Formats: sequence, C-alpha cells, structure tokens
Amino acid sequence: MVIRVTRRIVEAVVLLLAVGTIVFFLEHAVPGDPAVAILGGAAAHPTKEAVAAVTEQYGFDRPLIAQYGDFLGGLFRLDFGESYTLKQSVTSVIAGQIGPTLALTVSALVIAWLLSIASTLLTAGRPGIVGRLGSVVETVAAGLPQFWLGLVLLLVFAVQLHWFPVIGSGPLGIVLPALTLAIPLAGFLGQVTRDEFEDKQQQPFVLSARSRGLSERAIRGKYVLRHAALPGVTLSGWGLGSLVSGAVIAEVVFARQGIGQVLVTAVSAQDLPLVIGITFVVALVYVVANILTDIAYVVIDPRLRRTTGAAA
Amino acid sequence: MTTASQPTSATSVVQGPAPVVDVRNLSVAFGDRTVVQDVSFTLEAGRCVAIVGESGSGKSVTARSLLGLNGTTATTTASALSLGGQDLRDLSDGAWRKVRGKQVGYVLQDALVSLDPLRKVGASVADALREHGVGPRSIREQQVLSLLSRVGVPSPALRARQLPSELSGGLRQRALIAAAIALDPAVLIADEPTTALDTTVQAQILALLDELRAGGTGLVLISHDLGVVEQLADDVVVMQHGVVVEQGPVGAVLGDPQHPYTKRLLAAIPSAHAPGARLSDAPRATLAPRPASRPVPVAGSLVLSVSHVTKRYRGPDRVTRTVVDDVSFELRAGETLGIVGESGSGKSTTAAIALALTPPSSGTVTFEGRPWSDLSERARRGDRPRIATVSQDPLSSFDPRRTVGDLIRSALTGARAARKSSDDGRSDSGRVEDLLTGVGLDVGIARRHPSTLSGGQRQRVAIARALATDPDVLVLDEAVSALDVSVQAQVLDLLADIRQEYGTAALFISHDLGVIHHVSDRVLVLRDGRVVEEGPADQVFRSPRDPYTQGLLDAVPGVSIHRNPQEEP
Amino acid sequence: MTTATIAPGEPDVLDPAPAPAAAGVRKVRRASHPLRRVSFWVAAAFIALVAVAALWPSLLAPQDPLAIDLGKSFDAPSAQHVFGTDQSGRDVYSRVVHGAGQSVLIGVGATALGLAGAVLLGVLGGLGGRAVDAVVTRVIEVLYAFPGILLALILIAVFGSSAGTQILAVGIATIPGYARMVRGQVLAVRGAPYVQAERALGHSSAHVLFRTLLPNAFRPLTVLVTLGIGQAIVWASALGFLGMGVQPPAPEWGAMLNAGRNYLQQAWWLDFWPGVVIVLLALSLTAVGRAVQTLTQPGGPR
Repeated sequence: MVIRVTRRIVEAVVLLLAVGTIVFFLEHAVPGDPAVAILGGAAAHPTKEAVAAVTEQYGFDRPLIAQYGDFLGGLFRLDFGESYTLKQSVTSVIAGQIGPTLALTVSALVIAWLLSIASTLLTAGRPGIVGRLGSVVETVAAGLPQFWLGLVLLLVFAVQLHWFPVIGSGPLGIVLPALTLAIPLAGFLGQVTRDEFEDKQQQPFVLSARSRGLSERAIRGKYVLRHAALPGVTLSGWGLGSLVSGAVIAEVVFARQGIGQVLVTAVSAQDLPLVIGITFVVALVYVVANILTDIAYVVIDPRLRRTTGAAA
Repeated sequence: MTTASQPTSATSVVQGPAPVVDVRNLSVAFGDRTVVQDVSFTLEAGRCVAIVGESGSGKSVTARSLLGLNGTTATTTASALSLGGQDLRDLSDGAWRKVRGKQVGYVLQDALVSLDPLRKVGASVADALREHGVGPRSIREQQVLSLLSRVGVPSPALRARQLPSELSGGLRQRALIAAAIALDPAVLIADEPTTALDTTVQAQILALLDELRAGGTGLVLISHDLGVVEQLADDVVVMQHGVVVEQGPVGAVLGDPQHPYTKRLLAAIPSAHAPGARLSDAPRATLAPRPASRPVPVAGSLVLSVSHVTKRYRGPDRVTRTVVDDVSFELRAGETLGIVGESGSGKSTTAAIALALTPPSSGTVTFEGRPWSDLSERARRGDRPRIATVSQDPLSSFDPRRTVGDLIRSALTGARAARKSSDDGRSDSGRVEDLLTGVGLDVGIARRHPSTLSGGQRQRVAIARALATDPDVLVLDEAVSALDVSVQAQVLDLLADIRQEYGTAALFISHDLGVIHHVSDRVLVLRDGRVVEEGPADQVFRSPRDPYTQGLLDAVPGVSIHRNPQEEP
Repeated sequence: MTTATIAPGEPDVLDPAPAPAAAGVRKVRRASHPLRRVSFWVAAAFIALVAVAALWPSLLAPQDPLAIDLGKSFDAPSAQHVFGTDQSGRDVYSRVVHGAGQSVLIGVGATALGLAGAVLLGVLGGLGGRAVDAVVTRVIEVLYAFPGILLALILIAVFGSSAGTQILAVGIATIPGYARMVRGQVLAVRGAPYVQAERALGHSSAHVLFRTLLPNAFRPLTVLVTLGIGQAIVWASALGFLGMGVQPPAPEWGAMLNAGRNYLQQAWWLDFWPGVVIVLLALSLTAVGRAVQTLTQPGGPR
C-alpha cells in the first residue's frame, strides 16, 4: 500500500512538471510582449525605454532555454514569481483566491455523491416505472450544461423566490453554485453507480445473503452499495478535475470570488506567471484527488490490500 | 399428464417422525409461463433427497420455493409446502426472513461468487447468527470459529479474517456450508454444491455433506451429476421441463429406470458404457468426404511430437511459476490422446503450446515431422489449417459481430490464405451448408448470431468451423465440460463419428475421467505441470501405476453408475 | 485454467426459467424496441429540425437575425417575437435559428478532431508494446490534468477567438476522455479469445487487425460520437458564454448567452431560450445515440 502511494506521488510530480512545461511553452507562443503586459498593457502606451528596461530586468531577452531553466528552478521552490498585472507574488494571489473555489468544488462533489447514492438506493433495480424514472432523471441531469443550469437556478430560486441570495459569499451563497456543479456530475455518477448496482444485485452472493435471512434493505444499503460505489470512486478523481473547470463557469454566473475569475483575466492579460501558477495548482488538485480516490478505492475493496491471491 | 411412476405419497414407507420437508403438488409460474408443475416429495431428518435434471428442468426453482427466493414475479401454489411442520405458503417477507437461515440453509455452487468478495469470510458466516439475534459480537465470533472447524477448515481464526479470494476452492465451499448451517437448520439445500470443484476436492465436500446428513440434517441435493446423486442420496426425484418424470429410492430409480428420460440420462454417462459405444440416440452424422487433395496422414504416422516442453510464467508478484514441467508425448495419426488433470495441472497450457499459440520456455514441438514451435508465426501459417481447436466456451472464440455463416467462411478464407492455394472447386456457401448439416445443424442457422443459440448448438458450430479447414489434428480443450449431460452425449457421439469418418488425430483435454476414458486411445495424466502417468486408456484406468491417478479414480462419485465396461453385453 | 466453472450449460432448448436471483428484482431491463419508443422519434425529429436550421435557417426564421429595432428592445416573448427580443431589438428566435449552423459546425468539428486524436493515441497505446503504452498513458494523463477551460483560454489567447479556435480547443479537450476509452477497448479486444482464434485459423496479422480487432474495438465508439457531438456543442457554448467564442453581433448561441447574462433580471428570455435549445439538442443526441447502440449491437435488438 505504501509502495502504491509512493509510486503515485512520483508519477504525480512528473506529471506536474510536464504540465508546467507545456504551459510555459504555450504561453510563450502567445503573441505579445510580456514586458508590455507588465507595464500595463498596450493601452498604457509604455515608452520604448521602459519596455527595454523591464525586458532586461526580467530577462526576457535571454534565450528561451535559459528562461525555462529559471522557471524550473522556481517550480521546485514553488515560487512562481510575481504576477505581471497584479504586482503581487503569484502564490499570494492564489492563496487568497483558492479558498472559495475549493469550498465550492468540494461541496459540489459531496452533494453529487449524496444525490447519486440516494438515486441509486431508491431506484436501482426496482421494477417498473420507479427504476426507469431514476435512469431517465440521471440521463437528463448528466446532460445539463452548467451555465444554463446555473442561470435557471439563479433565476428561479434567487431572483424569483428569494430563497437564496443572488450574490453571497456565506454558506447560503454557496448552495446554488454548488448545486449547479453537482447536478450534472450526480447524473453521471448516478448512471455509473446504478449500472454497477443492478449488475451486482444479480450476483449469486446476494442470493446467498438472502438465504441467511438478511433483509432487502440491509443487502442493498450495506452490501451491494459497496460494490456499486467502486467505479464511481475511480471516476471521482477525474470528476473533481472537471469540477474545477466548471467552477470557472459557476464563479462567472454567480459572480463569486475564486481562481476561476482570476484565471480568465490572467489569460487575456497575458500574465504568464499567474497563468502558470493557477494551472499548476489546478493540476495539483487533480493529482491529489486521484491519489485520494485511489486510497479510497483500496479502503472499500480490500482485495487490493492483499498482495498475493489464493492458491487455486 | 401422468408420468410412468407416480408415487402415491411419501417415497419412504418407514413410519418414522414427521417429515421435515413436505411438498405436495407444487407449481411455480412466472407470469403465464409455468416452470414447475405438480411436484411432490418429502424428506425426513437425517436423509437426503436429490432433485435431478438438466438446465431448464425446474429443479433449482423447486428448491428455492422452500426459501421463498423465486422473486416477486413468481406465483407459487401447492397443496402442501412445509418445513419442519411450518406452512410456507403465503408467508410475509418478515416471516420468510425468520425461516431463512434458521429452519433452512442454502448452499450454492462456486463460493467465489456465492460469498461477498468484499467481505471477510468470518463476517459472511456470522450473517445468520446476527440476523437471528445471537448474542454480542464475541459470542458470534466464537461460534464462527467452531463452525469453521466443524466443516473442516484448518486454522479457522486465520481464515475467518481472510477474503474469499484468499481461500482455495475447497475451503471456500466449506466456508459457504458453514454459513448455511450456522444456526443448525433442520434442512440444508445444496444446489450443485460441487460442480465448480476439482474431483478430489469434490469428494471431500460430499463427505462433509454426508456427515451433516448423518448428524440429523435433512439434505435436499440439486444436481445434474448422477454419480454424486448415487453417492449421497437416499431418494431421487427426476425432473424434466418442470415436471417429475420419475421418483423413488435411489437404488430403484438408477438401477432400474422406468421412464425413457431417466434411461437416457443414465445412458449418456460415458463411464456407463464400453469406450466407443454410442451415448445418445442421435443419428450418425452425415459428413461430407474430404477432398482427394487433402488426405489424412497415414494411420500410425507421427503427427505431433512434444518434447521436453516447459513453460514458466512470471506473475505480477514477481514469482516465477512453472506451469508445464518437462512434458513429452507423441500423437499419431488416427489416435485420440486424452490429457487429464485437475485445475492447475497445466493441461490447458500444454494444449496452447501444442497449438503454438504460446511458445514454450524450453523444449520443442514438431508437427508432422516439421518444426512447429521453433518457427516464426509467418512460417507456421502455412500449416495452421491442419490443426484446429474447439474450446470450452465457444462463444468467446467467436467474433461477436459475425453470424454463424461468417464464422465458418472466415475459417475457409483463412485456410486458403494460409495455404496460398486457390479453392478446390467447392463453393464457400456449399461448404458452409455441408459443414452445418454434417454437425447436425439446420442450414438456416448460418444467418443467426451465436449469441442466440444454445450451448449445444454453439459447440456444434465450433466443431463445424474446426472441420472447415480439413484438419489433421483436432485439439479439444474441455470441449464438452460446460454442456448438459444429454447434450454432451450427442456431441461426444458426433466427435466419434468425425473420427471414424475422417480418421483425424485428436488431443482431448478434460478433467472428467469418464469422458476421457470414453474417447481416448491413450491417456496422459498431468499433475502440477508434470506427467505422472501415461499409457493406453484401459490400462491407466483399470490398473493405474501412480497413486495420484488411483486417488483421482477413487474420488469419482458414484459406484454402480460406472459399470465395469467388461461386463457390458 | 479450464475446470468446469461454468454451470452445467444451457439446454438445447433455450432455458424456459429465467432463474431470477433476487426477490423484487426484474431481470435485465427488457426495453422495447428502440424504433417503437416515442422518445426516440421526438428526439430524432428535434435533431432533424436543428439540422434544417443549420442548413437553411431562412426556412424556419425568415426574419433577419441582425435587424436592429431599438424601439422594440427587451420585448417579452409574444406572438410576433416568439422568444422575445434582445437589447437591440433583434428577434431572439431568429438568432437562435441562425446560430444553429455555427454551433453544429463547431460541435461536429470538435468531435471529429477529438475522436481522431483519441483513436490515434488509443490505438498506439493499445497495440504498441509496453514502452509505447506507457508513454501514451502519460500523455493522456497530462491532457487530463489540463482543465478544459484553461486549454481553451490559452488557445484563444494565441489564435484569437473564432469558430476555428473553439473547434481546436474543445476538440483537444475531449481527446483524453475518448483516448482512454479507445485504449481500454483495444487492449480488451486484443486479449480476447476470439482474436486468438482468428489468428489460429491462418489469417495474417493484418487481416485479423483490420477485420476483427479494430472493428470490435471501435464498435462502442459509434454511440460516443452522437453523445460527443452534444457534449461538444455544450462546451463550445460554455466558452461562448465566457466571452471566448465568436463575437457579437454574430448570432452564435454561446455569445448570445454571454450577452444575455447581464440582463438576467429584466430579460430572462435572452439566456433561457438558447439554453433550452442546447439542452434539448444534447438530450436528443443522447437518446438517438442510445437507440443506435441498441440497434447495431450484434444479434440485433433484444
């Protein structure tokens, strides 16, 4: 188990390096002079001397490889430099903004799981219309675009019904944005979990358990559910990554604080260190999420904890 | 519709204690489809009744009626259905749960899927205890340990903490039995309890079940294997298509069967006949003759020579396992060599090496005197059509997108491509028709998908495909193991007809000693990758030299079922 | 190892007893034939409608989508303007219809790009040796780690906002998901007994590859295409919503959503209707995709 986790961490580090490198070179393909961006953009009409001075100061005239070397060095120290536009260290910018985004994505994931488990437990494997309804609801939910769902939720529950604030950073303010992200993910997770649930419910071990007098409820909730949750757990790592992507949209729709907003502005302002920093952090979240889901999987499925199988 | 032998009441005349199981006129229907009709039998404590039948006979549904586990879509009617005096008709869910585990226990086949793979063995065993309110956890744990000991699981404390996948097949089955008898139910229902096990392990589990029966538990045994039935049961109920065709004491029914179906079942057992006798009443196959351009090799000439072949695998845990260890044998034209062994004996790997589907780690295989295992696949292709294979699960060897006709045609085009020859005057569709009729299938089947066919039909398609290339050698890897006994009989007869008509050599791999004895001229016994015995079939089976072989023969259940072939008229 | 781990086998007549394993559970959903379901036809009709809108928008919406009429700005949906009007008095319905072409183009283009990339990676990884597969898996992992939005943003910053960039951005973002599936399928089929059986019949490796292995590996993908197009259109609209797509006054759905965002309180119809169309289109594509899957599975619909 320890070996697994260590290996994952090493792979993760390599991955992050790759991500950072790609962003570095992509950003350098963007037309435009970073020195100009630092000085406030083309609209600020910086003088030629100012541009030259900045260029020399930041080393933009050095060969690309050398700049990359500096970049890598900074990466290891987790120093992304200073934002061109915000004149703050990138780390502090991110630290300030990441809280709300993380809160949003984590709560969305939790809600998504709760919804999909509820849907599965209540409707999977049940005959007739109940079963089919659950499946249809999940399919529809999975296909809902987040921006539209967010707008509709905002319109109905905030603007019309006043149940939630239109803009708010407190706990009430997180409900609608979290739901916006959670519902489509819940639809997707629900489908996967339901399919696995219905498959496992047909297995002989369920019949065996029934023959010992276990109740249907216990079998569904304690035994089959555990099996059914496994594929969903694997997908949660990816799911969290996609939630971060969705967080950008949710933050825009609900005018929330978070790195999503910062990212959008940073790219259009060609603020290289900030873009790299945020990308890196997002990739980090994705990687950590995958490691955590790996661990969770092993917790649920003890077969992987034992190193050798049975004698035949 | 009355059947030949219709018992009036309980099959036993002994006026002993009231029966623990009393079933009278049981009928089960799913919607408008009646699956079990008018079944009656009784069982006393300490006795065993066996319900025998093939797939679709309704035997499992009948047994599950005693547990109420046929599902909500089932309608069950009976003039009597009771367990230990308690009426089981119209029980509520809550009432059923009190019965299950306490009055009756259920053992399924293949504990690998019958025990929750994610839960520790001990937890599953404790289920019934917990559901019926047995004491605090510590008491339950004690009972689990004693249950595991009772069923013969060594180191019970260790095993209880393990997962089913960490136990061997035999231990798993014992654990499953322990889970079923946890509350010492009056009746134990065992549904094919040993089908997934090796013969030697099967013998042990049967002994365990017999012990439980002797201890006073009533045993309801569901099986398709008449040998197992003969060994364990006092009374037997024979079912076909949901109806009882014959029932009575075991000795009477198996020794002197009245109903044609029972007779057919008994006739289909390979070891009940002299080797080579026909097992079924299917007509002889009408096989198209081989073209003159591709005659069978001269009888007696060496077709396949396997010399000191060894195969080693390195598993994911870095341990190297020797799966095949210094195996050598020869196969001559016209003869059938049977390779027999239990799981893990290396017989399938040996077959794969003989087919050159996997290279040996050391040793060589030659084919008709030419190199075979040492060649590159390209060089080998020319000879590929000469050696064909039929495996246990034909469906997995069929491209899922293809119809039956496409599959056979693919064999024809493959053979042509490999031989680099043009066709020999016979049209492909004509060939396909001939092959299908030859194996006893209707030509209309060519348009159908194998997934819509029954197991026996699929196996015939696999055989037709194997014959399409006019092979000199047929490799049959557990080719009949997954078939019902009567279907198996038909397929074995077909293979015998093929052998007679074409004189092809055959490598027949199986774990079933009776089948091997029936089809083979010579036999190879494998154990843990090594050849422990080799020789003419009669000699190996009548007077084996190696104690392992003797052990295998002793473990085969049933005695009079396997008549001494010399006594056959 | 082949011991008799399979139950005694099917009878020569198909098993009359369904052998239900559970109380209260019906065996596998016995769906009715897809072509008989109403939902299928409704979905297909909607897709056809959108296709017509994409190809001949004037057929469905004779009004000019760009026609400004400031006197009529922010009109609620009425008989004359079925979806209402926007801030410049333009008819929302016409804009939605005229915007279909672009969105469909982006959706199809992005899916095509994504699938092409995924097939390339997936086949390489699935068929190549361990070293190649390791590299391919890493590449897929890296692509996954890039949040889709970021990639899109960077590409737009480099190449400017246009339909082409949207296709590129969304296309590349869908590659890792599909690639993983393709690779998994190729690996699974590669190890399948029937592939080995075909080879044992004497066919050349090339024959087995193109006639058996790849067709079976790709079969599940046909469904993915329809689902994928729906998803791609949604993503592209999301980018448009963020202001990264085609710029106004072009009637592209995403851009309309972006513009309408600011007027949510007073003119909800600006964002609502384009959104509804997008959602319905995605759902219809899903329904049709599922039907196609059932119809094309081997053995026919069961």
